[in-house]
Amino acid sequence: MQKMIGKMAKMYPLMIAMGFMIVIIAFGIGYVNSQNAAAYFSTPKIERETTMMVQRVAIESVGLWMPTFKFLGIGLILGGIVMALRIIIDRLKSAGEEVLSNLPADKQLQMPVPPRYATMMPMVMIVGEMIFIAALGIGIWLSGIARTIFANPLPVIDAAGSSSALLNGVQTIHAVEGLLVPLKFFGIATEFLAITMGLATIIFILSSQTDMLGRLLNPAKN
Amino acid sequence: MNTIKPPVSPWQMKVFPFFTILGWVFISAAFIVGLFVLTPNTISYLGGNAKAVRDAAEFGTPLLAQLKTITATPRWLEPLAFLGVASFMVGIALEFSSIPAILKNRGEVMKVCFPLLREHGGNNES
Repeated sequence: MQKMIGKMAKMYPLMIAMGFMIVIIAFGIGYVNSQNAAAYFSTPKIERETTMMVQRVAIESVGLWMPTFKFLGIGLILGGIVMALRIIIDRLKSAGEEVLSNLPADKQLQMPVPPRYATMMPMVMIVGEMIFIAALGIGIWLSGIARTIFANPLPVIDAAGSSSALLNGVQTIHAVEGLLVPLKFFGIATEFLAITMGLATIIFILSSQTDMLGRLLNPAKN
Repeated sequence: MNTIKPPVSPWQMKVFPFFTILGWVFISAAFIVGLFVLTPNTISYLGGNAKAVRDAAEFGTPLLAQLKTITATPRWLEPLAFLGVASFMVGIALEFSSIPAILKNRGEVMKVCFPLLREHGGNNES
Protein backbone atom coordinates (compact mmCIF):
# COMPACT_ATOMS: atom_id res chain seq x y z
CA MET A 1 0.00 0.00 0.00
CA GLN A 2 2.71 2.46 1.08
CA LYS A 3 4.78 1.54 -2.01
CA MET A 4 1.79 2.18 -4.25
CA ILE A 5 1.23 5.57 -2.61
CA GLY A 6 4.94 6.31 -3.06
CA LYS A 7 4.62 5.57 -6.80
CA MET A 8 1.47 7.64 -7.12
CA ALA A 9 3.17 10.54 -5.34
CA LYS A 10 5.46 10.97 -8.35
CA MET A 11 2.45 12.38 -10.19
CA TYR A 12 2.48 15.48 -7.97
CA PRO A 13 3.40 17.96 -10.78
CA LEU A 14 0.30 16.77 -12.66
CA MET A 15 -1.90 17.44 -9.62
CA ILE A 16 -0.46 20.91 -9.15
CA ALA A 17 -0.86 21.71 -12.88
CA MET A 18 -4.46 20.46 -12.84
CA GLY A 19 -5.27 22.54 -9.77
CA PHE A 20 -3.74 25.64 -11.32
CA MET A 21 -5.66 25.07 -14.57
CA ILE A 22 -8.92 24.78 -12.62
CA VAL A 23 -8.25 28.09 -10.83
CA ILE A 24 -7.44 29.79 -14.18
CA ILE A 25 -10.65 28.38 -15.76
CA ALA A 26 -12.63 29.57 -12.71
CA PHE A 27 -11.15 33.06 -13.16
CA GLY A 28 -12.25 33.05 -16.83
CA ILE A 29 -15.78 31.91 -15.95
CA GLY A 30 -15.92 34.47 -13.13
CA TYR A 31 -14.97 37.23 -15.56
CA VAL A 32 -17.68 36.19 -18.05
CA ASN A 33 -20.19 36.01 -15.18
CA SER A 34 -19.23 39.51 -14.05
CA GLN A 35 -19.88 40.82 -17.58
CA ASN A 36 -23.25 39.07 -17.47
CA ALA A 37 -24.03 40.75 -14.14
CA ALA A 38 -22.91 44.14 -15.49
CA ALA A 39 -25.31 43.80 -18.44
CA TYR A 40 -28.12 42.60 -16.15
CA PHE A 41 -27.83 45.35 -13.52
CA SER A 42 -27.40 48.13 -16.10
CA THR A 43 -30.98 47.43 -17.24
CA PRO A 44 -33.91 49.08 -15.41
CA LYS A 45 -35.26 47.02 -12.47
CA ILE A 46 -38.72 46.24 -13.88
CA GLU A 47 -37.33 45.17 -17.25
CA ARG A 48 -34.49 43.01 -15.88
CA GLU A 49 -36.66 41.22 -13.31
CA THR A 50 -39.38 40.32 -15.80
CA THR A 51 -37.57 39.72 -19.10
CA MET A 52 -33.87 38.89 -18.44
CA MET A 53 -34.38 35.51 -16.80
CA VAL A 54 -31.64 33.76 -18.84
CA GLN A 55 -29.01 36.17 -17.52
CA ARG A 56 -30.32 35.89 -13.96
CA VAL A 57 -30.20 32.07 -14.18
CA ALA A 58 -26.58 32.24 -15.36
CA ILE A 59 -25.54 34.73 -12.64
CA GLU A 60 -27.19 32.79 -9.80
CA SER A 61 -26.19 29.27 -10.90
CA VAL A 62 -22.55 30.15 -11.64
CA GLY A 63 -22.34 31.93 -8.29
CA LEU A 64 -23.30 28.66 -6.60
CA TRP A 65 -20.99 26.09 -8.24
CA MET A 66 -17.99 28.22 -9.14
CA PRO A 67 -16.60 28.86 -5.61
CA THR A 68 -16.56 25.09 -4.94
CA PHE A 69 -14.81 24.54 -8.28
CA LYS A 70 -12.12 27.08 -7.32
CA PHE A 71 -11.62 25.38 -3.97
CA LEU A 72 -11.19 22.03 -5.77
CA GLY A 73 -8.36 23.64 -7.73
CA ILE A 74 -6.74 24.95 -4.54
CA GLY A 75 -7.27 21.49 -2.97
CA LEU A 76 -5.47 19.79 -5.85
CA ILE A 77 -2.53 22.19 -5.50
CA LEU A 78 -2.34 21.48 -1.74
CA GLY A 79 -2.65 17.73 -2.48
CA GLY A 80 0.28 18.09 -4.91
CA ILE A 81 2.33 19.72 -2.14
CA VAL A 82 1.50 16.77 0.17
CA MET A 83 2.62 14.33 -2.54
CA ALA A 84 5.85 16.29 -3.05
CA LEU A 85 6.51 16.04 0.70
CA ARG A 86 5.91 12.29 0.46
CA ILE A 87 8.62 12.02 -2.22
CA ILE A 88 11.05 13.97 -0.03
CA ILE A 89 10.24 11.56 2.84
CA ASP A 90 10.82 8.48 0.65
CA ARG A 91 14.13 9.84 -0.71
CA LEU A 92 15.38 10.78 2.76
CA LYS A 93 14.51 7.32 4.06
CA SER A 94 16.19 5.47 1.21
CA ALA A 95 19.31 7.67 1.44
CA GLY A 96 19.58 6.91 5.17
CA GLU A 97 19.10 3.18 4.61
CA GLU A 98 21.71 3.17 1.86
CA VAL A 99 24.33 4.90 4.03
CA LEU A 100 23.73 2.57 6.97
CA SER A 101 23.64 -0.58 4.79
CA ASN A 102 27.42 -0.19 4.49
CA LEU A 103 27.91 -1.19 8.11
CA PRO A 104 28.89 -4.73 9.09
CA ALA A 105 26.12 -6.94 10.47
CA ASP A 106 27.20 -6.56 14.12
CA LYS A 107 27.10 -2.77 13.88
CA GLN A 108 23.80 -2.51 12.01
CA LEU A 109 21.40 -0.09 13.65
CA GLN A 110 17.72 -0.78 13.86
CA MET A 111 15.61 1.62 11.82
CA PRO A 112 13.19 3.63 13.99
CA VAL A 113 9.50 2.81 13.72
CA PRO A 114 7.83 5.52 11.61
CA PRO A 115 5.36 7.63 13.59
CA ARG A 116 1.65 6.95 13.01
CA TYR A 117 1.07 10.35 11.41
CA ALA A 118 3.61 9.46 8.69
CA THR A 119 1.44 6.58 7.42
CA MET A 120 -1.78 8.56 7.89
CA MET A 121 -0.64 11.54 5.82
CA PRO A 122 -1.78 10.30 2.34
CA MET A 123 -5.17 9.18 3.72
CA VAL A 124 -5.76 12.60 5.30
CA MET A 125 -4.88 14.22 1.94
CA ILE A 126 -7.38 11.95 0.13
CA VAL A 127 -10.11 12.76 2.70
CA GLY A 128 -9.48 16.47 1.99
CA GLU A 129 -9.86 15.90 -1.76
CA MET A 130 -13.10 13.96 -1.13
CA ILE A 131 -14.47 16.94 0.83
CA PHE A 132 -13.70 19.25 -2.12
CA ILE A 133 -15.33 16.86 -4.59
CA ALA A 134 -18.41 16.54 -2.34
CA ALA A 135 -18.61 20.36 -2.04
CA LEU A 136 -18.44 20.66 -5.85
CA GLY A 137 -21.20 18.04 -6.18
CA ILE A 138 -23.39 19.97 -3.71
CA GLY A 139 -22.62 23.24 -5.55
CA ILE A 140 -23.69 21.72 -8.91
CA TRP A 141 -26.87 20.35 -7.30
CA LEU A 142 -27.70 23.79 -5.84
CA SER A 143 -27.02 25.49 -9.18
CA GLY A 144 -29.55 23.07 -10.74
CA ILE A 145 -32.17 24.24 -8.21
CA ALA A 146 -31.22 27.87 -8.91
CA ARG A 147 -31.74 27.25 -12.65
CA THR A 148 -35.31 26.08 -11.97
CA ILE A 149 -36.15 28.93 -9.59
CA PHE A 150 -34.63 31.86 -11.42
CA ALA A 151 -36.20 30.82 -14.72
CA ASN A 152 -39.27 32.54 -13.19
CA PRO A 153 -39.63 36.34 -13.12
CA LEU A 154 -38.59 37.80 -9.76
CA PRO A 155 -42.11 39.09 -8.91
CA VAL A 156 -43.36 35.48 -9.26
CA ILE A 157 -40.62 34.23 -6.92
CA ASP A 158 -41.40 37.03 -4.43
CA ALA A 159 -45.10 36.15 -4.50
CA ALA A 160 -44.45 32.44 -3.81
CA GLY A 161 -46.67 31.26 -0.98
CA SER A 162 -45.54 29.23 2.02
CA SER A 163 -44.70 25.57 1.25
CA SER A 164 -44.63 26.30 -2.49
CA ALA A 165 -41.95 24.59 -4.61
CA LEU A 166 -40.37 27.97 -5.38
CA LEU A 167 -40.02 28.97 -1.72
CA ASN A 168 -38.73 25.50 -0.82
CA GLY A 169 -36.09 25.87 -3.53
CA VAL A 170 -35.02 29.31 -2.23
CA GLN A 171 -34.90 27.86 1.27
CA THR A 172 -32.73 24.91 0.16
CA ILE A 173 -30.28 27.18 -1.65
CA HIS A 174 -29.76 29.54 1.27
CA ALA A 175 -29.73 26.81 3.93
CA VAL A 176 -27.16 24.64 2.14
CA GLU A 177 -25.09 27.65 1.10
CA GLY A 178 -24.65 28.53 4.79
CA LEU A 179 -23.06 25.13 5.29
CA LEU A 180 -21.07 25.01 2.07
CA VAL A 181 -18.66 27.84 2.97
CA PRO A 182 -17.43 26.22 6.23
CA LEU A 183 -17.31 22.82 4.45
CA LYS A 184 -14.82 24.18 1.91
CA PHE A 185 -12.66 25.53 4.71
CA PHE A 186 -12.90 22.14 6.40
CA GLY A 187 -11.38 20.64 3.23
CA ILE A 188 -8.57 23.23 3.32
CA ALA A 189 -7.97 22.41 7.00
CA THR A 190 -7.70 18.70 6.16
CA GLU A 191 -5.13 19.40 3.44
CA PHE A 192 -3.15 21.63 5.80
CA LEU A 193 -3.22 18.87 8.39
CA ALA A 194 -1.70 16.48 5.84
CA ILE A 195 1.04 19.04 5.04
CA THR A 196 1.74 19.46 8.77
CA MET A 197 2.01 15.68 9.15
CA GLY A 198 4.39 15.50 6.17
CA LEU A 199 6.65 18.21 7.55
CA ALA A 200 6.63 16.60 11.01
CA THR A 201 7.67 13.31 9.35
CA ILE A 202 10.57 15.00 7.53
CA ILE A 203 11.72 16.56 10.81
CA PHE A 204 11.40 13.14 12.50
CA ILE A 205 13.55 11.47 9.81
CA LEU A 206 16.25 14.16 9.90
CA SER A 207 16.42 14.03 13.69
CA SER A 208 16.49 10.19 13.69
CA GLN A 209 19.27 10.07 11.10
CA THR A 210 21.45 12.46 13.09
CA ASP A 211 20.67 10.50 16.21
CA MET A 212 21.58 7.18 14.57
CA LEU A 213 24.88 8.53 13.29
CA GLY A 214 25.55 9.78 16.81
CA ARG A 215 24.89 6.29 18.17
CA LEU A 216 27.27 4.88 15.57
CA LEU A 217 30.03 7.14 16.84
CA ASN A 218 29.20 6.59 20.49
CA PRO A 219 28.18 2.90 20.70
CA ALA A 220 27.92 3.21 24.49
CA LYS A 221 24.65 5.12 23.94
CA ASN A 222 23.03 2.11 22.20
CA MET B 1 36.53 8.62 20.29
CA ASN B 2 34.69 11.29 18.31
CA THR B 3 31.71 12.82 20.05
CA ILE B 4 28.91 14.84 18.53
CA LYS B 5 26.13 16.71 20.20
CA PRO B 6 22.65 15.73 19.09
CA PRO B 7 20.70 18.70 17.67
CA VAL B 8 18.66 20.52 20.29
CA SER B 9 14.94 20.28 19.61
CA PRO B 10 14.02 23.78 18.34
CA TRP B 11 11.36 25.78 20.18
CA GLN B 12 9.24 25.89 17.03
CA MET B 13 8.64 22.14 17.32
CA LYS B 14 7.05 22.69 20.71
CA VAL B 15 4.83 25.56 19.53
CA PHE B 16 3.58 24.36 16.11
CA PRO B 17 1.07 21.74 17.45
CA PHE B 18 -0.67 24.58 19.34
CA PHE B 19 -1.25 26.51 16.11
CA THR B 20 -2.35 23.34 14.26
CA ILE B 21 -4.91 22.54 16.97
CA LEU B 22 -6.01 26.19 17.06
CA GLY B 23 -6.60 26.06 13.29
CA TRP B 24 -8.69 22.89 13.68
CA VAL B 25 -10.70 24.42 16.50
CA PHE B 26 -11.50 27.62 14.56
CA ILE B 27 -12.44 25.81 11.34
CA SER B 28 -14.46 23.13 13.14
CA ALA B 29 -16.26 25.88 15.10
CA ALA B 30 -17.10 27.65 11.82
CA PHE B 31 -18.44 24.35 10.41
CA ILE B 32 -20.51 23.64 13.54
CA VAL B 33 -21.97 27.17 13.62
CA GLY B 34 -22.86 26.83 9.92
CA LEU B 35 -24.49 23.46 10.54
CA PHE B 36 -26.35 24.16 13.79
CA VAL B 37 -27.02 27.92 13.69
CA LEU B 38 -27.00 29.27 10.15
CA THR B 39 -28.73 26.40 8.35
CA PRO B 40 -31.64 25.87 10.83
CA ASN B 41 -32.26 29.64 11.06
CA THR B 42 -32.33 29.95 7.26
CA ILE B 43 -34.70 26.99 6.95
CA SER B 44 -36.93 28.46 9.65
CA TYR B 45 -36.88 31.98 8.19
CA LEU B 46 -37.53 31.08 4.55
CA GLY B 47 -39.51 27.88 5.00
CA GLY B 48 -43.21 28.52 5.37
CA ASN B 49 -42.92 32.31 5.28
CA ALA B 50 -43.86 34.06 2.05
CA LYS B 51 -41.93 37.23 1.16
CA ALA B 52 -44.90 39.42 2.14
CA VAL B 53 -44.93 37.86 5.63
CA ARG B 54 -41.17 38.25 6.01
CA ASP B 55 -41.25 41.87 4.83
CA ALA B 56 -44.07 42.69 7.26
CA ALA B 57 -42.17 41.33 10.29
CA GLU B 58 -42.09 43.87 13.08
CA PHE B 59 -39.50 44.75 15.72
CA GLY B 60 -39.01 41.99 18.29
CA THR B 61 -40.60 39.22 16.22
CA PRO B 62 -38.84 35.84 15.82
CA LEU B 63 -38.69 36.41 12.07
CA LEU B 64 -36.58 39.56 12.46
CA ALA B 65 -34.38 37.78 15.01
CA GLN B 66 -33.78 35.00 12.47
CA LEU B 67 -33.05 37.56 9.72
CA LYS B 68 -30.54 39.24 12.05
CA THR B 69 -28.82 35.88 12.70
CA ILE B 70 -28.61 34.82 9.04
CA THR B 71 -27.26 38.18 7.90
CA ALA B 72 -24.89 38.90 10.80
CA THR B 73 -23.41 35.42 11.39
CA PRO B 74 -21.66 34.96 7.99
CA ARG B 75 -19.93 38.31 8.52
CA TRP B 76 -17.86 36.91 11.39
CA LEU B 77 -18.00 33.24 10.42
CA GLU B 78 -15.88 33.64 7.31
CA PRO B 79 -13.17 35.69 9.06
CA LEU B 80 -13.13 32.97 11.75
CA ALA B 81 -12.53 30.30 9.11
CA PHE B 82 -9.72 32.45 7.65
CA LEU B 83 -8.27 32.79 11.15
CA GLY B 84 -8.22 28.99 11.27
CA VAL B 85 -6.42 28.83 7.91
CA ALA B 86 -3.93 31.45 9.13
CA SER B 87 -3.27 29.44 12.32
CA PHE B 88 -2.54 26.35 10.22
CA MET B 89 -0.18 28.36 8.03
CA VAL B 90 1.67 29.74 11.07
CA GLY B 91 2.04 26.14 12.30
CA ILE B 92 3.44 25.05 8.93
CA ALA B 93 5.81 28.06 8.84
CA LEU B 94 7.07 27.14 12.33
CA GLU B 95 7.72 23.57 11.18
CA PHE B 96 9.66 24.85 8.17
CA SER B 97 11.70 27.18 10.36
CA SER B 98 12.70 24.29 12.63
CA ILE B 99 14.32 22.36 9.76
CA PRO B 100 17.44 24.63 9.55
CA ALA B 101 17.99 24.18 13.30
CA ILE B 102 17.86 20.40 12.88
CA LEU B 103 20.24 20.51 9.92
CA LYS B 104 22.61 22.88 11.75
CA ASN B 105 25.14 20.26 12.89
CA ARG B 106 24.39 17.70 10.17
CA GLY B 107 27.54 18.69 8.25
CA GLU B 108 29.63 18.17 11.36
CA VAL B 109 27.98 14.79 11.98
CA MET B 110 28.53 13.65 8.40
CA LYS B 111 32.16 14.81 8.46
CA VAL B 112 32.86 12.75 11.54
CA CYS B 113 30.89 9.75 10.32
CA PHE B 114 32.15 9.46 6.77
CA PRO B 115 35.61 8.04 7.63
CA LEU B 116 33.93 5.51 9.91
CA LEU B 117 31.40 4.47 7.29
CA ARG B 118 34.14 4.23 4.67
CA GLU B 119 36.22 2.10 7.00
CA HIS B 120 33.31 -0.28 7.60
CA GLY B 121 32.46 -0.28 3.92
CA GLY B 122 36.07 -1.21 3.14
CA ASN B 123 35.90 -4.06 5.65
CA ASN B 124 32.75 -5.33 3.97
CA GLU B 125 34.36 -5.32 0.55
CA SER B 126 37.46 -7.24 1.64
